[in-house]
Amino acid sequence: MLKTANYIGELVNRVKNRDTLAMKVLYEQYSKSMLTISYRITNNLEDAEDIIQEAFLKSFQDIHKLKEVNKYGAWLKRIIINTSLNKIKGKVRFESIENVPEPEDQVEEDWYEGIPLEKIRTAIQALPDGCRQIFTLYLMEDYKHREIGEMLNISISTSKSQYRYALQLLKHKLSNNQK
Amino acid sequence: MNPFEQHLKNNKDKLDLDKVSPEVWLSIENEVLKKKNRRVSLYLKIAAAAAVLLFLTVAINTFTQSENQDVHRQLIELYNLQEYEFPQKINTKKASLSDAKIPVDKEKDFQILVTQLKFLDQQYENYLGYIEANGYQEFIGEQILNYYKNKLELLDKIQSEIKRIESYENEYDKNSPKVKLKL
Repeated sequence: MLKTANYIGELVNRVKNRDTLAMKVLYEQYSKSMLTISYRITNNLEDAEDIIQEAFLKSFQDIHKLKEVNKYGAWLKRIIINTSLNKIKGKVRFESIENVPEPEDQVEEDWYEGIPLEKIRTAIQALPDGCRQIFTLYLMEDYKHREIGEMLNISISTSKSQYRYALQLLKHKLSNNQK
Repeated sequence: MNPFEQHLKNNKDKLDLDKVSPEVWLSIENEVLKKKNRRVSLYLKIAAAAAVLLFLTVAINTFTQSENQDVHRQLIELYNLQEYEFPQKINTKKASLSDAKIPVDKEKDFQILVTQLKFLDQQYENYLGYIEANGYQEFIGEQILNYYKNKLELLDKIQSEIKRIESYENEYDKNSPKVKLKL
């Protein structure tokens, strides 16, 4: 998929002139990844679809506010994340991580090799809400723990420990399922 | 970053959901088109408002020679109203009909159309009177816009009627007297 900065910039400029086709092309470029982010945060596909619909519309409406046209993707992602976090505001619970499960046996460093990505995707989605959101924002979307702390109104150390918890849960679930 | 984390990062795109329901884009497109239509409708309303403003500007300038002439030009530039310059279109059409002559025996047929035009013009005067008394309001803008559309339609009708008579002139007595159409 062609996604160079200039290409995106050109599309954004066309959207600024209310070009519906350019809107559609931008949507095609980003809709899957944006739906995934929103779904990982809200854990509700219907909500996630509503959120990306609202976010794309907002982005098209406010496109003139975007000064650096090549950064449409990052700008849209921020809208998606903010809207998704607003949706789950007050509902996020962070599980206690006192009893972190360990894999039953010693596992190899390449324990994940051979596990279908579909299975990993399902396992990520099955993580408890709070740690799944942190896992998504930190590893998949490259936010720093400090930024995540601000977004979710939690401490940096909570963000870090919940992230480690998510990794351990994934490892436990996936490596045990493999046997 | 451990190898598993790296593995996830490397396959980030493949871990995305497979597809998005087509209904999502349909809803977005629907909203975008609705907004576009609203914008066109807004432009039309602004065009009507601009026409009123033009009228008032001309009227005021007659007495005060004020500098308000720029306002209409600015509105036109701002909202790209060239396409909607109804008053100009009406004047052009009226001018093209100013020398038109019709057979005397057809005058009655045209009388109905001319009466309708006068009725429309009277309504327009009423709208302007309302604006003078109460200030410009959106619904009046809509009425004025309708007035322009109806007037253009009527003028078109008159024009095509004249053409029809000219085309079938053989059916009439060519030597029958003609009168000037009073618009």
